[in-house]
Amino acid sequence: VINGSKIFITNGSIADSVIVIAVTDPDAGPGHGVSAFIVETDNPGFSVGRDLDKMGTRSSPLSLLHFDDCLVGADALLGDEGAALWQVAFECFDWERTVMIASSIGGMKASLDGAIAYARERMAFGKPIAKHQAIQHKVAEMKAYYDAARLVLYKAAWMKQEGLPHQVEASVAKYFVAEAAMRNALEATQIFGGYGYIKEYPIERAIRDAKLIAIGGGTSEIQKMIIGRSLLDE
Amino acid sequence: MSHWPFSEEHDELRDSIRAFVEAELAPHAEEWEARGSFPDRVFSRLGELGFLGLSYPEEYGGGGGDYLCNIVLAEEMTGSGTGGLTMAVAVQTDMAVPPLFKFGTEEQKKRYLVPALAGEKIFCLGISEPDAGSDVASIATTAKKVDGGWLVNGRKIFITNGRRANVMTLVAKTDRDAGHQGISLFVVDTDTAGYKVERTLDKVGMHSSDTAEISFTDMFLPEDALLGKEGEGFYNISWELQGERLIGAAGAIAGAHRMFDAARGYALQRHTFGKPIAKHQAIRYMLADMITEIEAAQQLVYEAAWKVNAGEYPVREISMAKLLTGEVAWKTADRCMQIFGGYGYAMEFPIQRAWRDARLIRIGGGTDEVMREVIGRIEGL
Repeated sequence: VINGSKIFITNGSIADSVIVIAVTDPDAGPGHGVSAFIVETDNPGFSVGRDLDKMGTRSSPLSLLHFDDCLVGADALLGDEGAALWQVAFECFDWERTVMIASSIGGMKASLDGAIAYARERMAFGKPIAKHQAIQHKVAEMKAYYDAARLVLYKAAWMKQEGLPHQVEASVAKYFVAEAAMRNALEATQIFGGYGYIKEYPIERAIRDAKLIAIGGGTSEIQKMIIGRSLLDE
Repeated sequence: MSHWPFSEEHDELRDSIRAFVEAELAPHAEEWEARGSFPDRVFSRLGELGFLGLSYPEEYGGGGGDYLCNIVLAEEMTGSGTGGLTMAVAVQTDMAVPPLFKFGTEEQKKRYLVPALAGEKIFCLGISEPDAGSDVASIATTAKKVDGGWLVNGRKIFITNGRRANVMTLVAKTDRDAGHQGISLFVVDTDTAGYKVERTLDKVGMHSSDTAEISFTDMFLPEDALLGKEGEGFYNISWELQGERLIGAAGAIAGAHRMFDAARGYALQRHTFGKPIAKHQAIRYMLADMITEIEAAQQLVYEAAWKVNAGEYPVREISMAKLLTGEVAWKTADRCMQIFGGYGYAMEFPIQRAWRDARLIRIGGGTDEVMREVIGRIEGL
C-alpha cells in the first residue's frame, strides 16, 4: 500500500504507468530501505493533483501525483526490495544526465544558426552586426561552447554504451551542458536585442528551456557535489 | 542616519511611497501580470499623490524636490513585484517627459507637462524602429517640412505604454543628409490622424507593461509640435537616454536586492541532507557573492545619481552603472532561481517573474554592448 505525493513529474498527467520510488523501511538508514514499484495510473488509489505551470519546456506536462492507499501487487516491485536508490534512481539519473540533455545540444545548434543568420542581416552603425568584433567574438564563443558541450556529452554517452562506469562523466556532462546551453541562449538573445526579448522569435524560448537543464534531473550544485566528492573523497 | 546620498526628507518620501506600493499596487501584481496590463488609474493615482512630478518645479504641479527623489521612487516601485509596472511608470517620470521639461516651450509645458505630472496624460517614447535602436542616427522615420507643419512617415517598435499613451515624444529625421544634425524631436498627440497602434508585442517578461508597434502614415503635425530646436534631436535624445539608463539601473539593483532577500529567506527554510541549504557552503557563498555584487553596483548607481543631482552630466558613470547593474541583476536572478530549484522554475513563486523581468535590463535602454562602446570611447579607445 503506497501513500504520499510526488511533485515536478514530467508526463505525470498523461502517463499510463509510473515508476514510483517509496520508502519501504524507514529505519534502514540513508540510502537503504527505498524500493521501486510500477504503478498503473488506473489504480484506484492513484490520482493526478494538477499540472504545474512553468517557465519553459512548456509543451510537456509537469504534474503533482497523489498515492492514497494505493494497493499494488507483489509483482509491482521493480528490482530488489530496499535497493531502489542504487538499482533504479541512480540508473535513471545516469540516463537523464546523458540522454535527456542531448536535446539541449540540438537547441544550442538552433540558437547558434539563428544568431549567425540574424547577425549577417541586422545593420548597426552602417554595417551588418556580424562585422562588429564584439558580435564575431560572441558567435565564436558560442561555437566553442557548443562543440565542447557536444563532445563532453558524447563521451558520457559512449561510456554508457560501452558499459563503463560513468556516473562522474554523466555529472560532468550534465553540469557543463547546463552552463553552455544557458550561456549560448543568453548570447543569442543578446545578439537579437529587442527581438530576442519578444515572443515572435524562438530565441527567448531557448533561455526559458535552457534554465531547466541546471535544475531538473539534479541541480548543477548536486552535480558539482558528485564530481567534487569523486575527486576528493579517499 | 540616512544612507548616503539621501537625506531625512528622502527617507520620509521613501516611507510614504512604500506604504502606497504595499497597499495599492503589490496586491494586484498577479492579476495585472496575467492581464498583460495595469489600469490607467494607477497613473492618475500616482499623479494625485505627487509621485510623478517629484523633481519638477511646483509651478507645473511638481514637488520641487531634487533628482534623488526620482531614484527613491524607482527603488520603491520595485516593491510592486511587477517589473512591467515599474518600467511603465519610469517611462513617464524619467524618459518620455523630461525632454518636454528640458527643451519644451512655455506653451508646450502648460499643455503637456502639467497633465503629465498629474497623471492625466500618459506618455510613451518613440525612439526604436524595426531596423534601428541604439544606433539612433540610423532611424528611418521622416518628418518632412510642409506648409504649416510637418508630415511624418515611419514605424516605431518596442514602445512601452504604446497602446495606452495619450502623447508620444517622437524622434524623427528632418534632414536625411545631415547625419546627426538631421534629427529632431516632436511631441505628438496619439489621436492625430495617421498615428496607428499596429499591434501589441508579447514579451518574455515585463508582462504588466504594454509594448506596441506604432506606424505613422502621412501624419500631419503643426509647427508647434517640434520639441527643442530643429536638428538638435540627436543630442537631446542622447541627454534623455542618460536619465533613462540611470533610472533603469536604480530599479534593476533595487529589484536585485529584493530577489536576494527572498532567496536568503528560502535558503534558511529549505532543508537538504539534514540541514538548511543556507548552511551548505555552496549556497551560503553564492548568497555572499550576490549581496557583495549588489551593494557594489548600488554604490555606482548612487555615485552617478549624486553627480546628476549636483548638476553634472556623468555619461561615463551612468553607462557603467547601467552595464554593471544589468549584469548583476541578471546574475542575481539566475542564482536566486537556482536556490529555489524546482519551485523557482514553476510559475507559483515570484522568482520566475523577477528572472524574466531582469533579462530586459541588459537589452532595453541601450544594450550591454552599447554601454561598453560608450565607456570605451570615453576612455579614449
